[in-house]
Amino acid sequence: MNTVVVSSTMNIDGREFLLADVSRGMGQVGVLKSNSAPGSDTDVFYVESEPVFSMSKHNAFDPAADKLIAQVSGIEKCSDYVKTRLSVVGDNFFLFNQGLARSVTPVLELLTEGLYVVHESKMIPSDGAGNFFWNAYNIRHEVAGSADKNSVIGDANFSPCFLIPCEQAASYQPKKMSVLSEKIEKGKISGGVAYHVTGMFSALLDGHHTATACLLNDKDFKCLVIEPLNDVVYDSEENPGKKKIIALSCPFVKIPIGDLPENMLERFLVTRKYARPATYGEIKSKAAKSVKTTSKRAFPAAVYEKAAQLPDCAMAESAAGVNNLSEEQLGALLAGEVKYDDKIIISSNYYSSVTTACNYLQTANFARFLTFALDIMRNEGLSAAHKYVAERLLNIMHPSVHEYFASVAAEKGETDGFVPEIAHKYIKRWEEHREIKRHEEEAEMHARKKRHETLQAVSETRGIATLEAAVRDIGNIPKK
Amino acid sequence: MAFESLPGVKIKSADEKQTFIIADFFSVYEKGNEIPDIYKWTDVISVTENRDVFIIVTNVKTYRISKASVPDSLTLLTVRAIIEGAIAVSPGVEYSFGKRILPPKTLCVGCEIPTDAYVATGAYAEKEVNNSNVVLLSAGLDRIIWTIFPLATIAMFAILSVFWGDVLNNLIKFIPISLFAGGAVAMVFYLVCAFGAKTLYGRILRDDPALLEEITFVVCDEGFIAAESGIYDFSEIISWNESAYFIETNHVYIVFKNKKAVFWLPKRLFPKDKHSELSDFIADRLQQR
Repeated sequence: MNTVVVSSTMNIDGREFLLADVSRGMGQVGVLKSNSAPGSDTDVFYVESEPVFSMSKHNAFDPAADKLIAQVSGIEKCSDYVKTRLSVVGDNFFLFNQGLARSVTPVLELLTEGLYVVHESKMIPSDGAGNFFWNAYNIRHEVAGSADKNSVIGDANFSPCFLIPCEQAASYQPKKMSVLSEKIEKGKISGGVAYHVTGMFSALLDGHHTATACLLNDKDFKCLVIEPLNDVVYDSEENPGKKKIIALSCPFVKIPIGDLPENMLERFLVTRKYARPATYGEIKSKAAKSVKTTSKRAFPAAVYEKAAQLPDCAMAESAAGVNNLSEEQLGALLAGEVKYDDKIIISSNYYSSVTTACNYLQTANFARFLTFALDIMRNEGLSAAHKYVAERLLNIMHPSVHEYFASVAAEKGETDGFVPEIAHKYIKRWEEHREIKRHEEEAEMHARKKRHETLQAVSETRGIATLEAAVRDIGNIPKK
Repeated sequence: MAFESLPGVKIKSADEKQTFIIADFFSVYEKGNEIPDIYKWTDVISVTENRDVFIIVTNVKTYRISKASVPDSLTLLTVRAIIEGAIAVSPGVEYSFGKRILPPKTLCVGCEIPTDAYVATGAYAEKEVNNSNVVLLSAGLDRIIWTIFPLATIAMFAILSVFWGDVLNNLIKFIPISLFAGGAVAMVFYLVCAFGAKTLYGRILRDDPALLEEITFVVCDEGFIAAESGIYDFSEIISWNESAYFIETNHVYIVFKNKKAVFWLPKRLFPKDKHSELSDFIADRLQQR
């Protein structure tokens, strides 16, 4: 029987998305349960018969517990049939403007039966802790922001923006970077396709090289994100004992039950979260036998440096959980208050309020963040938050931060407390950062000089009058 | 959650006034209402399964799903497995059910069955269930019979004394008569119970359609399970921690939890030369009584 995908575009609270109903799905992409021991709680994200990565929890009953994630296999081992379906989606949508529904259908057909929300979002190519995503999951470890429930975000909508790779790091091809960089320069860059798996994380099904190139060229990496619709929301205004479920939800959006077509709602209610694909046995045995592969192919050093500067999980969750912070509210926080105008600003806990405000501002308004964070650091009465804020500032190479830490380092020795210790560490990093910048500038100068010399040589040998004409001649810029 | 890959089930009540959907959520469509009432399983207060009906009490309403409205026994067993799987991870839900031989799936946890597990399939035979139940009963009735015997003897002695009188002269008659009467009462009591035990299979059959299904039996390092083959996919187990001890009869191994039998494993499903190995395997994990 053929797979049927019925989809419709919706707009709820200004969030535009595609709602897709997949029936008789091929079950080639999804998440399955694979518990190796009684009481363990392990999910495996699979593509075809490859167990791409596993996600497990220490405490199966705690929805707020972060998960241990480990890459097990790679999508490159899958058949061309699946790989082709995944690879055409990004180009069709981002380059050929074929429309969301038409572009994404080849991937939706690969999924298991159920309802899905598809939207276009900017993704962050890191693991949410400043590490480049593509080789961040080689070792099984607990990943912050991967819990099913997030206390900072609560019921707010958000886009699961951090990435887990589906290709193994060994499939990275450095040669592709120059081609993609050129495409980025010409504005002809495609995007990726991702599938939401847990918390703030999505599995990147296609677009690993594009994500890397975007990071290297400081461009936004956009993805079509597919989110299984498998949670519900209660009416918060009802009596707590008699709360009614009023909407279906995924991280990106909450859809009121009344807005759903009847057959789609029934599909949601009958479909179970964990379907069992035909390749279940094969996936299980491969997952059990899998041997960790480490890549000898190194990513450019700039990738790691740029990934470290990306917003982290705490910032992203604060940005999602906090709608807006007024100057007056920030002023109240700086005065050591958690309330403004008799209303709790963020949380009744002061430390939590300050850290969340910092993280929110760092993504929403960087200039305001710097002022707010430095104001906190300069206020001795707010010492409870100093360590957290100082650690936040440690990775920010900015003259005003340098000025503050330099004054602290000048006044106090490295062992005079945690802020002076961080200050000294910052000064060392600042010097290293300056050194790297200097090298980069020198390398760029050198490259420019070499290019100039080449052009001069071309113009001399071919008798071309101007350098511009020489450049046109070797085809580096298009002729007008 | 156990049994989380079983497909959801939609059941229409006989009077067609309600449609129930039992899956990751419990949902009810009332006739004429396009929007269903949806409940998380944690919103359910209690579930009672009796011979004819599932009674599901939620924080808002009480629902009754008649078993007669479930199209076939496999669907009924699927409904039961989904409910029990959900209750296993919602400890606040009260659950009660009738007589059964298969262990409740509320004890199950997700676990991949290793390849070296002891696995067998087959249905329970009436004879082995009844005979084993008599053995169980005999063991359980020991103390009661040894209490009934002296009490009945004393009672008979007292009756004879009241009605016959002259105890001292008739002592030689009263003692054997009382002893015989005490023994007879204990024997009758035992026979009545044994007759009851002999009909256990028939009584369970009335309550539990699973008894007629092919059952998959698994015993492995991680635990044990007996579940209907039609719904079991080798992803669930009952941990050895859920059991206290086991006994071995001529026909079956029976594993107990809180003095209640939770797992009956028929010996005939395994080759005879494997019996001692299987006994040792279970004895390594549980105390044998």
